[in-house]
Amino acid sequence: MATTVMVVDDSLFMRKMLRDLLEEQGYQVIAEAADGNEAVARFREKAPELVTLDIVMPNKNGLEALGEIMALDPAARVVMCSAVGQESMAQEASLAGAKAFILKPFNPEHVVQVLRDVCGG
Amino acid sequence: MDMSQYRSLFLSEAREYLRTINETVVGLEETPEDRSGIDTLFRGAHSLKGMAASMEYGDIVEVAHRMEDLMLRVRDMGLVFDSGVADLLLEGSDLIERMMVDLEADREPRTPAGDLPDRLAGYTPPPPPPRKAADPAPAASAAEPAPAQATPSAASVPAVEPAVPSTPPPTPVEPERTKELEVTSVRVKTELLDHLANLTGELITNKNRLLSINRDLASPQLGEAVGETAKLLRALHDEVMKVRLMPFEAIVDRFQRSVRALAKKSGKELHFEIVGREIGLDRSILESLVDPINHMLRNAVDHGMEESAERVAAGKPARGVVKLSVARDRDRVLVTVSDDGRGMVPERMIASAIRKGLISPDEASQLSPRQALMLSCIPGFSTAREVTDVSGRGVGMDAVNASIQKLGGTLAIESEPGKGTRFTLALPMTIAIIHALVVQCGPIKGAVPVTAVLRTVELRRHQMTRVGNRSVFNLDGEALPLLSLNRALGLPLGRFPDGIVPLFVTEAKGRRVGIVVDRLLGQHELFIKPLGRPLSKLPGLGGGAVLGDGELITLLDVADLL
Repeated sequence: MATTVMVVDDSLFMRKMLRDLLEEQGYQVIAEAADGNEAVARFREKAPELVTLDIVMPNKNGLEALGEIMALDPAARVVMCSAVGQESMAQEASLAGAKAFILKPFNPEHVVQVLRDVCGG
Repeated sequence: MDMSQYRSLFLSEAREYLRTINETVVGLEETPEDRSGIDTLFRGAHSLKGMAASMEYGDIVEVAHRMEDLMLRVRDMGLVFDSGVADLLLEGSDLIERMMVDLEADREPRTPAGDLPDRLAGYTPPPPPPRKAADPAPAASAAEPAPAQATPSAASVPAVEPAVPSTPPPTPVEPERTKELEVTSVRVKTELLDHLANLTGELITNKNRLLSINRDLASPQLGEAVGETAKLLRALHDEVMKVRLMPFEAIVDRFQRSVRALAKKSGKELHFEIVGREIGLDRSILESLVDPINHMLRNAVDHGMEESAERVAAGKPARGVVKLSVARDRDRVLVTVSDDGRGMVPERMIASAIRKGLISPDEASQLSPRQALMLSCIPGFSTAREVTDVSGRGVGMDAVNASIQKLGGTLAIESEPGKGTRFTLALPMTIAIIHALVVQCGPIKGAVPVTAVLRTVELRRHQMTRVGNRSVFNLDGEALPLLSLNRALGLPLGRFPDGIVPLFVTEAKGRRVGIVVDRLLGQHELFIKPLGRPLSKLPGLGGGAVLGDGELITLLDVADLL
């Protein structure tokens, strides 16, 4: 069974890229969300096995959404994604339960490696 | 990973971000403390940077990155969002747009970033304007006209080094309206929409043909089937047209930018308000509206609006209001540009038109105040100098009026001296399939869009009078000149043996006129197609359509014919 994933990013462009990349690697993208509120709602609804979560988003940012998702399911596997400049968030996210941190722009090999680690461990 | 497949998605989404940035910048100048606006700008630049980095567009990354950093200073480090910050962000957004145009044209980037990244990075606010020491409060009194671009509260927040956060942490932010990015939506090429509209139009023409055939056959079954088809076609037409509708929103950022620039240039203090962004209009109409609306806004800012001092002296608030609003009115869309400026004086408009030989004193005496205002739409009415004399209307108003009529719409002007002026454009929501009044002139049938028809009248001969060498008739207390469509088309004049003269009232050259025809044949739903060359070169013809009986009919541009 393919691992199910939810891709969260406020940019359609970013979601599309990540979705293509993940599907190419055999993951099954079962949900997308464009902000933190949507992410929490979809997570509740679809219970994906893996979440990629952008940090800078409108309405509810990635860190806030991370907190809510972890409260819903303390075993949730969430990988934070953000561009240069948000590295300081990495530690905060990891304390809040994120399994990994991917820096944008995405390096496909790196993304694949990180996700594999997260899913394996 | 092949990134070229993502290019068009990048371009279209990046443009959405740029538009949001432009609009938010302009909005923030009015309310510089608005945290959600500041967040939106930060996020916009941040997202642009991330997207451009994925596409490996280094130049765009650099500009977006500096814009993001500047907004970070505003968000977290107490930098005041002043007009200097606004200018830099707008400049950045323009630069990125130009870079994207290069990308789109598949050519080497020819737009260098220049020194903008450095200026974004090194921005320091201007020193606070010298103020009386005993006056710590920001100048908020209307009686003290401040320069339009004063930096609000610049005096109360000291300029700080970027690294020293001197303000308390940001207060919780009002959640911004959710920008729905539905995962279930698809993007289609606009040509496909045009094609769908075209097919729907052909189907409607064909349905009219079936209706016409059944007039001879009189088959109840066929009649019922055609009636059902007509209903379905109406629903199909509505849906197809809905798809072609774009919210007015799509063009408003250009107006915000131009009003901002005009106000800055003329040093006038004003508040620009936009209402009805969500109202949908056919995208081709929307595109054709940009120039006319810009013309009207320029008139409002340059000429309609007084200087602050003059306003205060007249007992008005120092800051003027220019408002652009869009509203639905049945199957029409009303676009109004209004200001609370000095207004227009009909008598002065008339005097000016006489002086320029545009109308005779005789004609002038027939003009109602409403008609006098419409004089501004006559070509040649205004020159730049004259404009100021007659309280400032007329620059390009003839052009505005002409393009609105081309779209099948109308323009109306209302004004009250000292109170302000309002221009109202009434436009069809969609084009291509229109309701038209079909008229007969000699052997020719012509169609006039119903939006251009104010009303139809059947006159008795005694209701017509002569003024000079012109026939006029009275409508609601206004003397309207009568013109013959036959004459305009070069046909023999109609005879009216029963003494009843059919006509329709329309607006031409800014005035209401009665257009006499041989017969009024009623209203039809027509699918208008553009005429090819050389017919398209003929003045007064706006397109062609096929009636149910297969007869060809031309759409008449009455204003152009007269």
